[in-house]
Amino acid sequence: MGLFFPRKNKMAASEVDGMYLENLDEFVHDEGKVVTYKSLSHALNVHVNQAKQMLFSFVEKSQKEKKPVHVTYLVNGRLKTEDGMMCKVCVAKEGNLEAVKSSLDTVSSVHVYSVQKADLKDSNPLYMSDYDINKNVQLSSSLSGVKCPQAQPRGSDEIDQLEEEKRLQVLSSSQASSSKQPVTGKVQPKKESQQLKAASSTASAPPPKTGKAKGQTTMAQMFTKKATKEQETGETAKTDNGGKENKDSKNVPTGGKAKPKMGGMMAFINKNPTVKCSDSSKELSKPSEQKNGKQEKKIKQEENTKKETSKKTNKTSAKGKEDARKSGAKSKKIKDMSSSDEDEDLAPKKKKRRRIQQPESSSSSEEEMSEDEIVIPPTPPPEPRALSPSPPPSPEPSPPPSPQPDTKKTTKAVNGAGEKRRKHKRVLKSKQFVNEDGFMVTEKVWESESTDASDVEEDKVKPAKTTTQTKQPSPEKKKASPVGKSTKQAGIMSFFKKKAA
Amino acid sequence: MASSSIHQDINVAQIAADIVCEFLEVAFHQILYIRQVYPPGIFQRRKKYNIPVQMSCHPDVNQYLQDTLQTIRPLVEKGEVEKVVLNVTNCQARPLERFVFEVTPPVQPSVNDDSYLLRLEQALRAFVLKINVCDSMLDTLPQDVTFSIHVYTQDSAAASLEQQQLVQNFPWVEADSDSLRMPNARIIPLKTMTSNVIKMQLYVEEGDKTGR
Repeated sequence: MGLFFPRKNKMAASEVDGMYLENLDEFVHDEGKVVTYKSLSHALNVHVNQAKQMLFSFVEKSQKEKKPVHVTYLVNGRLKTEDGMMCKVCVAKEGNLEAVKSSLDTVSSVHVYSVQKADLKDSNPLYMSDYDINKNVQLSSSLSGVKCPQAQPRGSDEIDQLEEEKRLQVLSSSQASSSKQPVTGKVQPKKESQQLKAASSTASAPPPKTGKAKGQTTMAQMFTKKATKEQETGETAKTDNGGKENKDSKNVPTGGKAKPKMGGMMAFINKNPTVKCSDSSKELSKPSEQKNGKQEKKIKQEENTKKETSKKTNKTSAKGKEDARKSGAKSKKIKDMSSSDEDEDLAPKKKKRRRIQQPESSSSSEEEMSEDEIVIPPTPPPEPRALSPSPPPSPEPSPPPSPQPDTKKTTKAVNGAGEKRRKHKRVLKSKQFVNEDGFMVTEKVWESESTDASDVEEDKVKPAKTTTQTKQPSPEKKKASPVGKSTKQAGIMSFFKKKAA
Repeated sequence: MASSSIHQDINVAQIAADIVCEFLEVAFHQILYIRQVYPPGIFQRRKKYNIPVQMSCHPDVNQYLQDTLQTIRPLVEKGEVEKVVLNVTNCQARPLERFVFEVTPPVQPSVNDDSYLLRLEQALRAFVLKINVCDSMLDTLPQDVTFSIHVYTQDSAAASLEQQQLVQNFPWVEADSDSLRMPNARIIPLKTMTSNVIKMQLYVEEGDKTGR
């Protein structure tokens, strides 16, 4: 049987209802809008259940007054299929309502979904009329859904306090945790950056935009609290699922890597923690509002002033950022990875640690990087540029390589058994030359220099990603690529392609 | 400085022209679907402006719409197009309904305020939504109808267009008065939009659909 709302609710605030019904009348008849229960609840700032009641009473009233309106219903029920019982939720037009209800084995509820004057041909207008509303998740969730009275967003003081505790933790435990960077850095930075955003922005509305992110911050807060309790033990805390255990055990280390900008720097720069703190906090409040590409630039500027240590932070921060960009959907993969990492030997961890710690002690300005990590700085996310008159391939890779035209990075190729007789140093140099088309090409080229025999091998590795082309002979025509095209070009092209098929 | 501002204006005009032509194509397809000018079977659901829209799969219809918009695009860029009309006519070429898109260039063309064009996209979405529900305001059309597209522009622009056509093989003819006039027409405004990129207004002129 269909579930309709009990009468007593309707009779409780009849005057208010009357006003609401007038508004609704105006929306439907005057403005010809498609009024869904969601848009009504947002417009009148009432709970969705009340909005549905209003729609229902409006429909009844219209039927009495012979002013026909078209109604769609949300039908909820169970259906028996070969695979078992299936729950079905669908939107049905009034004409189809009985048919849909009879197709289900049991009907749990029938609610009014929308009311409009026009007879809709398909469901497009229903989606469109809620489109802008769905962006405003805070209001949506406050007007509907299940609520937990104990779940309150934290105040900014509390967040500041937690951050302080974490910082202290990170300082003390950074040494023990370097190996787990790549894995854990991925999961935490998003949460941590959310936390930082919370701290920096006004406390009136919680800054995380989506409800999902909000969930994540509460999770993160849960974990950080636990981290303060178990300081340097590698034990996993008791959490809800096994997957989260790994996060917890690495929480102390992730404290270091998790805040890619702040924590990473804290871990590796032990010189002036307070000074660093202020710098990084300034840097952090800005990047949270800027694009990732600009973040790279800021961090790279620091690099020029402080060579080794800042480069490392760049490495970790770039990694952390790259990982932060990955959505929460990938966190499961990471959880699996982290569980497998735990089972690995300690030997590879030590190797990595060694590499990172050595430059700290060494006086040379050359940095050691593993080959995998080289990939990260030159590949920032290619975000669609709004107004970009220059041709598309050039802007994306150019910002990160440009501030480092002459940096040299070396790797120690430690051959399997660890023999270090012949030291092959691979130096990343950027070379400029004019290629056959008359373009001036800047390429990043790996040259491996071995100390014993003084021959230089050129390995052109990954030139494609980092070439910037400027026409020397003929002036570049600045094509006004229209703003809309960068985002809408695909739309038109898809029309054409599909047509041809 | 002057050259850069001119450069900026030209950019905006091109951008505006592209956006308008894209939007008109989407709107025309949507109108053909909603008013059931063609059977719904030829339409396929596509995505534009992040919402589902209906687009026809019929090659001739698509070709006609595209050619039309391609030829008027240079006129829109120069701001010489006053309005673009989708004329729904019955078999005797008598107009029953006219969807009029009035397009004017803005007072101060610039893309600085809305550089990601999010508000513009929102406005265009609202247009499409309004087209979807315009049924309620219009009388039903008879079964056998067809459509044509008219463009209101200036004489000089029309002349320049003729020169172009020979190259493009898509001739435009001056519409005769029969296909323009509708006795006892009423105007139903649908949507208006103002922005720094383009100003657009959509209304429907509805004639007498019964009789003859």
